[in-house]
Amino acid sequence: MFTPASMRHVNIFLLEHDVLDVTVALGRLGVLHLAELEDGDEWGHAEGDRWSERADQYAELERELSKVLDTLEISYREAPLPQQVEPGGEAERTENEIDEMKRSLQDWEERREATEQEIEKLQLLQQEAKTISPLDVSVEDLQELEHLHLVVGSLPRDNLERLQMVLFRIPFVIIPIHEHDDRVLVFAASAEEDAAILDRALSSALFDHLDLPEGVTGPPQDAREELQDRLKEAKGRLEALGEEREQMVKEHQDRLLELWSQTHYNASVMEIISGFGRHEETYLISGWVPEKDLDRLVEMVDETAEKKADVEVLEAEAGQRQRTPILLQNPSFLKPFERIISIFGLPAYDQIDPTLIVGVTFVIMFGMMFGDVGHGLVLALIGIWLLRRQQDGASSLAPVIIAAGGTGAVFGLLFGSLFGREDILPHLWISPIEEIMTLLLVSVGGGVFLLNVGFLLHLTSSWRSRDWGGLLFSENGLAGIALYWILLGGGVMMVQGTSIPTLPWILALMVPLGLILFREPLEHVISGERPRVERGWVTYFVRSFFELFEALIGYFTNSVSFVRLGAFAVAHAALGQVVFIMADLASGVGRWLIILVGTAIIIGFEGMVVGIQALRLEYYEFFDKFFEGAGRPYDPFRLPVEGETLAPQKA
Amino acid sequence: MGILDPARYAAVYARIHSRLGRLLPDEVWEDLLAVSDLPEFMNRLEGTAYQDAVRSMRGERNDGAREIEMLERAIRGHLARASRSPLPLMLGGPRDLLEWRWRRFEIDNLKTVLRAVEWDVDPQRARATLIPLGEASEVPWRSLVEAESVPAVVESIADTFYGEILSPALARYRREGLLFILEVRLDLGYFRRLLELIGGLHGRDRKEAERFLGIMIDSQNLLWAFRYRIFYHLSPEEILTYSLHRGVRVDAMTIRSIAEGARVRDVIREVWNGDLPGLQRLDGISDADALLEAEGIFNDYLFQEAQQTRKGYAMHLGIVLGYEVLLETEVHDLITIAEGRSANWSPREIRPYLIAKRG
Repeated sequence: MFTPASMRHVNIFLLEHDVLDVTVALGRLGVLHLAELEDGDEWGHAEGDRWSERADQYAELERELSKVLDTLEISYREAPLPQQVEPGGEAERTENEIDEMKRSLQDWEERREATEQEIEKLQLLQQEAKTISPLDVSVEDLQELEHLHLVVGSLPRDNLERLQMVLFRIPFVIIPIHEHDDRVLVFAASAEEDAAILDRALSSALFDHLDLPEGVTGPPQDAREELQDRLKEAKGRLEALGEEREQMVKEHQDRLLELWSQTHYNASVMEIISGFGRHEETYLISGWVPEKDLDRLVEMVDETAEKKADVEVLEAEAGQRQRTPILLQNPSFLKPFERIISIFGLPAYDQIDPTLIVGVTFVIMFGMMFGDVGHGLVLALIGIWLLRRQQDGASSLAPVIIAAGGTGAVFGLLFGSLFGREDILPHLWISPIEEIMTLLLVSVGGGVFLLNVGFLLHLTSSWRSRDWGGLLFSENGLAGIALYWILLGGGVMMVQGTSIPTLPWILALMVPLGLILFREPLEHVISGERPRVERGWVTYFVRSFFELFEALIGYFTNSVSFVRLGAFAVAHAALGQVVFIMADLASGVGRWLIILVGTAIIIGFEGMVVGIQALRLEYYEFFDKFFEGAGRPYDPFRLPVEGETLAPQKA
Repeated sequence: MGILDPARYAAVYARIHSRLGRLLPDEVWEDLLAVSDLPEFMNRLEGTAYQDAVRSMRGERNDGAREIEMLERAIRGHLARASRSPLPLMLGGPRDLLEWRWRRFEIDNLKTVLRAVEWDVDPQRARATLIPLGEASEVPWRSLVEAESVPAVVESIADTFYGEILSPALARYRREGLLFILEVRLDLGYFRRLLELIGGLHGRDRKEAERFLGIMIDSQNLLWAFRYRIFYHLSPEEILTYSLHRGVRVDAMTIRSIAEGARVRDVIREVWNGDLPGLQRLDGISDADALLEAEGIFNDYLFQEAQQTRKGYAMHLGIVLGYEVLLETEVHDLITIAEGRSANWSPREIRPYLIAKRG
């Protein structure tokens, strides 16, 4: 629970003969997080050989099949799961089948496209004819204007408005006639001498000229009727084409889905294999597996490869540890709190998993700032309601909300607060309004405690990762803890008015200060590294001085920051009282309305603010002491198994 | 705004805070500038947050791309991945905006694909120069470079935003064979949508979006318009057609004045008045030189603004956008050093081309 799941780095050496079966079995087992190869000289990628060629081949087939399915409007989401991977002959057979299907579709598609284009053009021409129909002039005359340059055509709708601005140098007229899809049919005209400018501007605005159809002459009204007849006939043809499509779907749907499913699956497997390492006829599958799944993996590989594969199991070594994927292992009631951690980042393999500590401290801090029996219980009920909605997002945070509401109610009992009233319940510990200073001091005390937990976690992580410099000389290591406590002790004595033994205190202070200031050379002395500092002593001292200064400021601000626990507890109690003071100014329904709205605002708005403050304290004051969040999530390679949909797997 | 939104910003803040800690410190920059060659540069970079990028590049088959190209691609892939990290923690308009902004990587890839297909580059070679976008992108990049023609590329992505935006320009492309038409349409479509999304934000988020993205969009728009006039000698009508008519500070009248011959320094002074430091760098130089200088001024300004977000209250979109600027600056500077060192430039020669003045 306090560390990420123990992982093992496995290298599976196997012969080409077994690579396909083992890959499929590994994908179905779904526990291996594939690693990128690091030693490129010895183990070149299998990419470039027949696996990657096959991957490309299947990917191409899949695209072709998708096109056919799309053309026939068949949904391939419900495609059946293939029973086995069959590379080679299967690809050729599939290709032949697809070619045959495409040939029969091609003619249909061409006829449909031609008919659709014809309908589109006829509709535009009809609009054009409709616009000029009131004119008592023939179409031929309009085409032979002497002093006016007139063009008809369509352009993308988004270019129409721009065109008005673009043509700022010449007088012009643009009349939109009809909108069709994303295009607008327009008449555009300018003086004949400005024709070149108009045409250039239209061309850059993607204007397509529209010519009147052959055989259309005479008055525009006659042309309209002729076009109407042609349009009706074309629409009839399109309808018949639709029925033809329905027939094709009935005949081929099942086989097409089967083919698509097979090629999709094959493409995925080949793609994965092409990423494996290869040395002549031997393949290397390298990755990480949780220790608890190791036996299953080894057993499966042995069984699939009939003991001809060699599985090398390695501990995550020092150089590898940062690359080891992280699988957090917490009981289910702590899972929602993992989300709080992962928002910041995952712990590295050597680091402590702080989920439990964060879970406990977050709800305690929230509860303290939101201490009210009534408000807390309402919040918990909202959490229960969210949990029952069973939707992603908010419902995944529901257990956190329930726990936070619950601790809010517990602190409400300790504070004697019920829906903002302090006069109904006796306080079991302290009254926030009456004992403000005590509450603030307790808050800072709690902060000091939490920061020290952070220091201890840093020590543990440093020990686990053999980071002796971090353990001994860092501002969060032993030297830092000593410095913090010496400063804190001095501060407490000053506040209490006790005189500080100045010389011993300063001497004690100098030891951890010196250790932190000389961290790098001391680390190098321990490890025997030379030079003792990397970029010269002057640069080192300047940098170290400022880092030390920052650390000292950090100790102070981190500790004082927890005063907000008490401050928000006081603010919460005060806000609750304000609601009742305001309610007392009204009467009847108004009074209850104020109480209701005020309480809702406190629970909603303040609950949110308090949540953010608790997160802030976790992320910036607490995590800062030990947590980097540089871990990589465990993301195993999976192939769908029976009962699952064909979602592409990850590499 | 939903009830959990402010809590989500706290989470975003936390994630960005942890990400900021992974930006390269000054001493690493000094080391990188001092490397003797590209392999040493990569070794040094491998010890940083770019470890995955360098390792993935080393693990890849070389399909004829130069090592420096592959490194640039890997580093940009790192940028694309890192830029997505706050997205799962965001909601609503700010998330939509950032999702859209992320598409700039797809736009870059699409331009690469279009050029590769147009110039008949070997698909393997073209693939090696695409930014790896992983599952975040739904565009089938691997297969796209194999398309037989530019219209075939557009047809393959017909159902995407890119297909919709490019399809109307295909007829003209077929007539004139100019890729420029498609690229301009892509850029304009992308930036127009970005501006719409900025316009849909409220309060501090909108201010921050205008602060960072506004200057990016406006400066880009101005530079386009000037380049069309100075280097490509386009007509005023074409300059206006190929520019954005509505930015944050720049509008159609600004572009019109550029199209009619206004000077670089005058336009930039008029648009930003006293808000942009360093404008005196534009005095006494030609418009062509001023364009380069102006680009540097905009980059410097954005970097300084991004640095500001590291201080003070930042429970808003500015923290994410500022982080993106810092990361982009880092990537720009890394690529500059890598290119400089592989061309045997000395650190002294490289430094002026770096955006961030470190150390």
